[in-house]
Amino acid sequence: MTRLADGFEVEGPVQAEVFVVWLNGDHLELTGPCGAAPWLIELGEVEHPVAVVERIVRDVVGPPVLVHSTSWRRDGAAVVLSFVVVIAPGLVGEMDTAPIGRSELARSAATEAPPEIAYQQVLEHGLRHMAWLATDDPVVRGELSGPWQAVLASYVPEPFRALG
Amino acid sequence: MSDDGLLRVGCVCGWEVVGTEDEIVPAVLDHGQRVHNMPGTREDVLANAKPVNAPTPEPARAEPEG
Repeated sequence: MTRLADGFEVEGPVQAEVFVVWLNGDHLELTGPCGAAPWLIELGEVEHPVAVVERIVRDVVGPPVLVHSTSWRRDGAAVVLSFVVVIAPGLVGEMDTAPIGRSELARSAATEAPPEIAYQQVLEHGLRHMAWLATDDPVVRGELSGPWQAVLASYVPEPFRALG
Repeated sequence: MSDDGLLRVGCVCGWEVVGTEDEIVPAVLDHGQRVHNMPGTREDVLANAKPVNAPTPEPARAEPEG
Protein backbone atom coordinates (compact mmCIF):
# COMPACT_ATOMS: atom_id res chain seq x y z
CA MET A 1 0.00 0.00 0.00
CA THR A 2 1.21 3.51 -0.74
CA ARG A 3 0.68 6.58 1.29
CA LEU A 4 -0.66 9.79 -0.11
CA ALA A 5 -1.24 13.00 1.77
CA ASP A 6 -4.85 12.06 2.49
CA GLY A 7 -4.46 8.33 3.05
CA PHE A 8 -3.97 5.02 1.33
CA GLU A 9 -4.30 4.79 -2.41
CA VAL A 10 -5.07 1.72 -4.44
CA GLU A 11 -2.00 0.81 -6.41
CA GLY A 12 -0.82 -1.88 -8.78
CA PRO A 13 -0.17 -1.92 -12.52
CA VAL A 14 -3.74 -2.96 -13.29
CA GLN A 15 -6.75 -1.64 -11.42
CA ALA A 16 -10.50 -1.90 -11.71
CA GLU A 17 -12.64 1.20 -11.47
CA VAL A 18 -16.11 0.00 -10.56
CA PHE A 19 -19.29 2.01 -11.03
CA VAL A 20 -22.05 0.40 -8.99
CA VAL A 21 -25.31 1.38 -10.67
CA TRP A 22 -28.91 0.75 -9.73
CA LEU A 23 -32.31 1.73 -11.06
CA ASN A 24 -34.21 3.96 -8.66
CA GLY A 25 -37.67 4.19 -10.17
CA ASP A 26 -37.22 6.03 -13.44
CA HIS A 27 -33.56 7.04 -13.15
CA LEU A 28 -30.13 5.56 -12.54
CA GLU A 29 -28.07 6.16 -9.42
CA LEU A 30 -24.42 5.61 -8.52
CA THR A 31 -23.58 3.97 -5.23
CA GLY A 32 -20.98 1.71 -3.68
CA PRO A 33 -18.99 1.15 -0.50
CA CYS A 34 -16.98 4.30 -1.27
CA GLY A 35 -20.19 6.30 -1.72
CA ALA A 36 -21.53 7.70 -4.98
CA ALA A 37 -18.09 7.59 -6.57
CA PRO A 38 -15.80 5.24 -8.46
CA TRP A 39 -14.68 2.25 -6.43
CA LEU A 40 -11.06 1.23 -7.03
CA ILE A 41 -9.98 -2.39 -6.73
CA GLU A 42 -6.48 -3.73 -7.20
CA LEU A 43 -6.19 -6.49 -9.78
CA GLY A 44 -3.58 -9.18 -9.28
CA GLU A 45 -1.68 -11.28 -11.76
CA VAL A 46 -3.63 -14.52 -11.44
CA GLU A 47 -7.38 -14.02 -11.28
CA HIS A 48 -9.39 -12.81 -14.24
CA PRO A 49 -10.37 -9.15 -13.75
CA VAL A 50 -14.08 -9.89 -14.18
CA ALA A 51 -13.83 -12.66 -11.58
CA VAL A 52 -12.11 -10.34 -9.11
CA VAL A 53 -14.71 -7.60 -9.54
CA GLU A 54 -17.59 -10.07 -9.27
CA ARG A 55 -16.10 -11.61 -6.12
CA ILE A 56 -15.36 -8.33 -4.36
CA VAL A 57 -18.77 -6.85 -5.23
CA ARG A 58 -20.49 -10.03 -4.03
CA ASP A 59 -18.55 -10.03 -0.75
CA VAL A 60 -18.92 -6.32 0.04
CA VAL A 61 -22.25 -5.33 -1.52
CA GLY A 62 -24.08 -8.49 -2.50
CA PRO A 63 -24.63 -10.54 -5.66
CA PRO A 64 -24.49 -8.33 -8.75
CA VAL A 65 -26.99 -8.53 -11.59
CA LEU A 66 -24.43 -7.66 -14.26
CA VAL A 67 -20.66 -7.09 -14.37
CA HIS A 68 -19.30 -5.60 -17.57
CA SER A 69 -16.01 -4.01 -18.48
CA THR A 70 -16.79 -0.99 -20.60
CA SER A 71 -13.52 0.83 -21.33
CA TRP A 72 -9.90 1.15 -20.35
CA ARG A 73 -7.37 3.91 -20.01
CA ARG A 74 -3.95 4.64 -18.63
CA ASP A 75 -3.92 6.65 -15.41
CA GLY A 76 -0.48 7.47 -14.05
CA ALA A 77 1.50 4.24 -13.79
CA ALA A 78 -1.57 2.01 -13.99
CA VAL A 79 -3.91 0.66 -16.61
CA VAL A 80 -7.44 1.12 -15.33
CA LEU A 81 -10.24 -1.16 -16.48
CA SER A 82 -13.64 0.43 -16.01
CA PHE A 83 -16.60 -1.70 -15.02
CA VAL A 84 -20.31 -0.99 -14.80
CA VAL A 85 -21.85 -3.24 -12.17
CA VAL A 86 -25.62 -3.36 -11.90
CA ILE A 87 -27.13 -4.26 -8.55
CA ALA A 88 -30.68 -4.76 -7.33
CA PRO A 89 -32.24 -1.85 -5.40
CA GLY A 90 -32.42 -3.94 -2.27
CA LEU A 91 -28.63 -4.06 -1.98
CA VAL A 92 -28.12 -0.29 -1.68
CA GLY A 93 -28.89 -0.30 2.03
CA GLU A 94 -26.92 2.34 3.94
CA MET A 95 -24.51 3.11 1.09
CA ASP A 96 -24.49 6.70 -0.14
CA THR A 97 -26.21 7.01 -3.50
CA ALA A 98 -26.78 9.85 -5.97
CA PRO A 99 -28.54 10.29 -9.31
CA ILE A 100 -26.28 9.96 -12.33
CA GLY A 101 -26.16 13.09 -14.47
CA ARG A 102 -25.30 13.24 -18.15
CA SER A 103 -21.85 14.16 -19.39
CA GLU A 104 -20.03 14.82 -22.62
CA LEU A 105 -17.70 12.00 -23.63
CA ALA A 106 -13.94 12.41 -23.46
CA ARG A 107 -13.14 12.26 -27.16
CA SER A 108 -9.63 11.49 -28.29
CA ALA A 109 -7.74 12.89 -31.23
CA ALA A 110 -7.06 10.63 -34.20
CA THR A 111 -3.84 9.32 -32.70
CA GLU A 112 -3.79 10.70 -29.18
CA ALA A 113 -5.62 10.01 -25.95
CA PRO A 114 -7.73 12.73 -24.34
CA PRO A 115 -5.57 14.91 -22.07
CA GLU A 116 -8.03 14.65 -19.18
CA ILE A 117 -10.84 12.25 -18.40
CA ALA A 118 -13.34 12.83 -15.61
CA TYR A 119 -15.02 9.84 -13.99
CA GLN A 120 -18.39 11.18 -15.09
CA GLN A 121 -17.23 10.84 -18.69
CA VAL A 122 -16.12 7.26 -18.07
CA LEU A 123 -19.50 6.49 -16.53
CA GLU A 124 -21.34 8.16 -19.41
CA HIS A 125 -19.47 5.95 -21.83
CA GLY A 126 -20.12 2.92 -19.62
CA LEU A 127 -23.85 3.51 -19.71
CA ARG A 128 -23.75 4.01 -23.48
CA HIS A 129 -21.95 0.67 -23.59
CA MET A 130 -24.73 -0.90 -21.54
CA ALA A 131 -27.29 0.67 -23.87
CA TRP A 132 -25.47 -1.00 -26.76
CA LEU A 133 -25.40 -4.36 -24.98
CA ALA A 134 -29.08 -4.05 -24.11
CA THR A 135 -29.86 -4.08 -27.81
CA ASP A 136 -27.06 -6.37 -29.03
CA ASP A 137 -26.55 -8.96 -26.28
CA PRO A 138 -29.44 -11.27 -25.39
CA VAL A 139 -28.08 -11.92 -21.88
CA VAL A 140 -27.91 -8.24 -21.03
CA ARG A 141 -31.23 -7.60 -22.71
CA GLY A 142 -32.73 -10.31 -20.53
CA GLU A 143 -31.28 -8.92 -17.29
CA LEU A 144 -32.02 -5.27 -18.05
CA SER A 145 -35.57 -5.53 -19.17
CA GLY A 146 -38.63 -3.36 -18.58
CA PRO A 147 -37.82 0.03 -17.03
CA TRP A 148 -34.10 -0.40 -17.69
CA GLN A 149 -34.77 -0.41 -21.41
CA ALA A 150 -36.60 2.90 -21.16
CA VAL A 151 -33.78 4.54 -19.20
CA LEU A 152 -31.02 3.19 -21.43
CA ALA A 153 -32.89 4.34 -24.52
CA SER A 154 -31.77 7.88 -23.69
CA TYR A 155 -28.12 6.83 -24.07
CA VAL A 156 -26.45 6.59 -27.48
CA PRO A 157 -25.41 2.96 -27.93
CA GLU A 158 -21.63 2.66 -28.10
CA PRO A 159 -19.39 -0.43 -27.87
CA PHE A 160 -16.24 -0.96 -25.80
CA ARG A 161 -13.44 1.49 -26.41
CA ALA A 162 -10.26 2.90 -24.98
CA LEU A 163 -10.55 6.28 -23.33
CA GLY A 164 -6.89 7.04 -23.27
CA MET B 1 -11.56 10.95 27.15
CA SER B 2 -7.99 11.71 26.19
CA ASP B 3 -6.86 11.27 22.59
CA ASP B 4 -3.37 10.31 23.73
CA GLY B 5 -2.20 7.22 21.90
CA LEU B 6 -5.00 7.28 19.36
CA LEU B 7 -4.10 6.99 15.71
CA ARG B 8 -5.98 7.84 12.54
CA VAL B 9 -5.71 6.17 9.13
CA GLY B 10 -7.70 7.20 6.10
CA CYS B 11 -8.28 5.62 2.72
CA VAL B 12 -8.65 7.71 -0.41
CA CYS B 13 -12.13 6.21 -0.83
CA GLY B 14 -13.22 8.19 2.22
CA TRP B 15 -13.14 5.38 4.76
CA GLU B 16 -11.34 6.27 7.99
CA VAL B 17 -10.55 4.60 11.28
CA VAL B 18 -9.46 6.03 14.62
CA GLY B 19 -8.25 3.94 17.53
CA THR B 20 -5.33 2.41 19.26
CA GLU B 21 -2.59 0.68 17.31
CA ASP B 22 -4.10 -2.71 18.04
CA GLU B 23 -7.52 -1.49 16.89
CA ILE B 24 -6.56 0.26 13.67
CA VAL B 25 -4.16 -2.33 12.27
CA PRO B 26 -6.69 -5.16 11.79
CA ALA B 27 -9.35 -2.67 10.67
CA VAL B 28 -7.15 -1.19 7.95
CA LEU B 29 -5.87 -4.56 6.78
CA ASP B 30 -9.45 -5.85 6.58
CA HIS B 31 -10.64 -2.77 4.67
CA GLY B 32 -7.75 -2.93 2.22
CA GLN B 33 -8.14 -6.63 1.52
CA ARG B 34 -11.93 -6.87 1.56
CA VAL B 35 -12.89 -3.66 -0.24
CA HIS B 36 -9.87 -2.94 -2.46
CA ASN B 37 -8.26 -6.39 -2.86
CA MET B 38 -5.02 -4.98 -1.46
CA PRO B 39 -2.76 -6.99 0.80
CA GLY B 40 -0.77 -5.14 3.43
CA THR B 41 1.26 -5.48 6.58
CA ARG B 42 1.17 -4.03 10.06
CA GLU B 43 4.17 -1.91 9.08
CA ASP B 44 2.27 -0.53 6.07
CA VAL B 45 -0.58 0.53 8.31
CA LEU B 46 1.58 2.14 10.96
CA ALA B 47 3.60 3.99 8.34
CA ASN B 48 0.36 5.65 7.24
CA ALA B 49 -1.04 6.34 10.71
CA LYS B 50 -1.13 9.81 12.19
CA PRO B 51 -1.59 10.70 15.86
CA VAL B 52 -5.08 12.06 16.45
CA ASN B 53 -3.81 14.92 18.59
CA ALA B 54 -0.94 15.83 16.32
CA PRO B 55 -0.57 19.61 16.09
CA THR B 56 -1.90 21.10 12.90
CA PRO B 57 0.83 22.98 11.04
CA GLU B 58 0.22 26.70 10.95
CA PRO B 59 -0.34 28.13 7.50
CA ALA B 60 2.60 29.98 6.07
CA ARG B 61 2.40 33.73 6.48
CA ALA B 62 4.04 36.32 4.34
CA GLU B 63 6.35 38.61 6.26
CA PRO B 64 5.96 42.30 5.54
CA GLU B 65 8.74 43.72 3.45
CA GLY B 66 10.81 46.76 4.14
